[in-house]
Amino acid sequence: MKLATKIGLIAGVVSIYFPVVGITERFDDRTIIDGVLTLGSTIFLVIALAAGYVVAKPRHLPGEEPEPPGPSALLYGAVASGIAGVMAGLFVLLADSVDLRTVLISVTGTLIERLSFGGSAGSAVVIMAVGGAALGALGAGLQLISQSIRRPLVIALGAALLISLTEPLLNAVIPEVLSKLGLKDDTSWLYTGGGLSVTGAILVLVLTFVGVFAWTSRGERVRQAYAGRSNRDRRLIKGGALLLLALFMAYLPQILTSFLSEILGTVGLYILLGLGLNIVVGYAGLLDLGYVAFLAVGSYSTALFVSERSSLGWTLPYWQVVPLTIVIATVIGIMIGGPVLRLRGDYLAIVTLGFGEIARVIVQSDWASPTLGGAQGILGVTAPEVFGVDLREPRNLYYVILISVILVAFISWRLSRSRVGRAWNAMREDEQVAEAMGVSIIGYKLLAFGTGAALGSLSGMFFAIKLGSVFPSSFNLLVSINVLALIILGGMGSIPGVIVGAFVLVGLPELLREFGEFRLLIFGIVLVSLMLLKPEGLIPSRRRKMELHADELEEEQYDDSAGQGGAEPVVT
Amino acid sequence: MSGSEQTPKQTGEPILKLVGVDSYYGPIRALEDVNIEVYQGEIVCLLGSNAAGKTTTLKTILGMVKPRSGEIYLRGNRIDGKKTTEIVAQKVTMVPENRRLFTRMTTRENLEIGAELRDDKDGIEKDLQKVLEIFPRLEERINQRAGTLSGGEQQMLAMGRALMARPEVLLMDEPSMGLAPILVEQVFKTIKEINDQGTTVFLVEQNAHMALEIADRAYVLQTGNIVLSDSAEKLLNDPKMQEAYLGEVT
Repeated sequence: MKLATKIGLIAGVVSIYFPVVGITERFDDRTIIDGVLTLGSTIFLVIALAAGYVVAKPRHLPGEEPEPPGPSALLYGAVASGIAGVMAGLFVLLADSVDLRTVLISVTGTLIERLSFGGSAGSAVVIMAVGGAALGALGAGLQLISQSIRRPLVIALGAALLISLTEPLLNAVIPEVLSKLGLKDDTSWLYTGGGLSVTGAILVLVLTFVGVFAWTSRGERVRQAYAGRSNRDRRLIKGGALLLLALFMAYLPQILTSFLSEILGTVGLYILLGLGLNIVVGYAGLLDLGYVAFLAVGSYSTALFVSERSSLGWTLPYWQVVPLTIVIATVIGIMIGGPVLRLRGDYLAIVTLGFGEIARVIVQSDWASPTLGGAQGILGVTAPEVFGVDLREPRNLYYVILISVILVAFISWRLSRSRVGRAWNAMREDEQVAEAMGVSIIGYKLLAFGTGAALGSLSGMFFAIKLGSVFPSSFNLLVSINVLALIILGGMGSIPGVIVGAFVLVGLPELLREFGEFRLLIFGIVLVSLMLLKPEGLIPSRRRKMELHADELEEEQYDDSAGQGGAEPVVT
Repeated sequence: MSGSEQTPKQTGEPILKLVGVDSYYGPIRALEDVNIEVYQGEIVCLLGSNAAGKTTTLKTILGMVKPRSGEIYLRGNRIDGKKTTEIVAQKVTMVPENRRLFTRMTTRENLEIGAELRDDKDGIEKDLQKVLEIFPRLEERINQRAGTLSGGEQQMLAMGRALMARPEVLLMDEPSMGLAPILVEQVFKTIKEINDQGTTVFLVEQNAHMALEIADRAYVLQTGNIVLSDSAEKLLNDPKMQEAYLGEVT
């Protein structure tokens, strides 16, 4: 009961927060299911359901069998969401009688009118309390039904919400696909009025439910069959799946709008950056916060040698610029690595942070401006032409980036399984002992910095080509932070993690553009909840997963003797 | 120093020799004029209480702490001032205090990293099998993360990891620490077996009784100074030793 009250209060605060900052009113124009639900009201539904769901969740100590929740859970759920409802209702009452607009400008008359469902503010309290309690009980009820039904149901609801929210995106793509398939490019069966149509909603719900239900009931057999195959077969299946994915990614620009292709290109750049930094941070455990410096090195080196307007006065063909840039970046990477060899963890982070800023300050400075163009940057980076194909065109550049991503992912996958990867791992865990085992700490650290720098510069090269010019302002601290964040989000040390992380961290904000000023707020909520729900990242590497989830009790027992002097970054 | 007596294994040139070694941590002197000789095929034990400088001695030998003065010889060649990796490459391997395994790596990976400096793939695989023969428990745990092993298994893995380097001199830092008495006995038995197969062992211990049982000779370290050195047998019966380290009232 105490828990129910607590969760109820939290849910209450949240459901007051949304209307107060103006989200509810703004999102009321955004349809989820045409004529039935708007995004504004969906938020309340989700809050009330979630509160009930969380309260009814069976709690147990580690190692103990969870007790299935009884009917009393329904009551608790109702109480929790009821409390939230009463709070929201009281707020409406307050807002109705006292003018709050002087402080909270978003609390408009229309908002109050909407929140009181057309009736008086007093009735709003009753409606919200009763409605909240009912929804809370419903949410709690979800915990009572068996897992095999609950999971598909929750996923189906989520899928409907997602498909509805991505309407502007999908509604542009689906007609294209349909017409390619020789069908009528009409999507009114799915989308109307900027959201799902009623039929569309039912269709999505039923299809997802059936699909997930089938997978949970039959999936186990498929998984077992897969595990029963020989190693070679499994590798073939995996390879085939990856090939299909690559083909799909290659086909994607054909059906996407130019805007989306461009976003994909940006995501690709960040994947490259992420893969590079992943080697430094994820594999070798060297927390580098100045990674943007290598992006800058790549961009500036490309611009210098390619642009006719650069200070050099002469240009080189691209096939020479590419290796040259990589060599320059590697050398600079090793040069930066040199002085920080003795530093670990936090200290290393601070110093590399400084290096990142130094890189930016140098290119901006008057001292370097005769060569690097100062704040004006370098303009006129001509795009390379390969067999007469202009790579500036987002779709073409996309292909080059895609190929690079595949290549780099392959390289870092091979690295992680090699002797080098193992040495990096050992070094990350316990530098001293690794050294006593004969791991050349200096060599491997420099190798990590050099490889990371080379990969970062590759991204920088594309960056310069894409923009056609380079400016110092593009290389700020935020880039380093973003790249680090996408690695953490995806799962440290995991290659698929980096890719998914880049999509979420770089792609999502672009797709959220229609939410205007609330974009970053929503983005923040998504990030925080992700890190709470999956601290090891979306697709953790095998190692990380074990670290954070498997046998946590055993961990405590033996960990006292281990991990001293580990250079593990403590960002998560 | 009390008068020491030659034991049968003390023949020829010592494989490891410390001459007048002083080591410092900043301004603090941790070792003072330490002289130690270890001969081929011996088990030599360095005894002492906490903070006597036992671990520092090992670190100094491996070049992780640089001696301020004095000389260290390995097979007659000076090694003080050399880099750790260079010294390790000369077949000197350490089993560190508290095991210090790579806890997030698997048993196999831990063993493989022990062979970091070797290039003979077949030889490494053969030695891996040999280590698993000595420690059959590790075979069962081969793909398990080292951090999930029990204390005894961890000690076995730490020893196995060191053996993977095919050391000629094995430095061991308190292998009995934190283990149940029965496991300690087992560990020391294994050390003896490893020694019987030709590996010279230099052992640092607080558990003087157990260590002296298997050792040929021993040195006693007190606040950075060697205060006693003799054959293990004599030390076991030395009344001063019994009073100070063996916990027996005379």
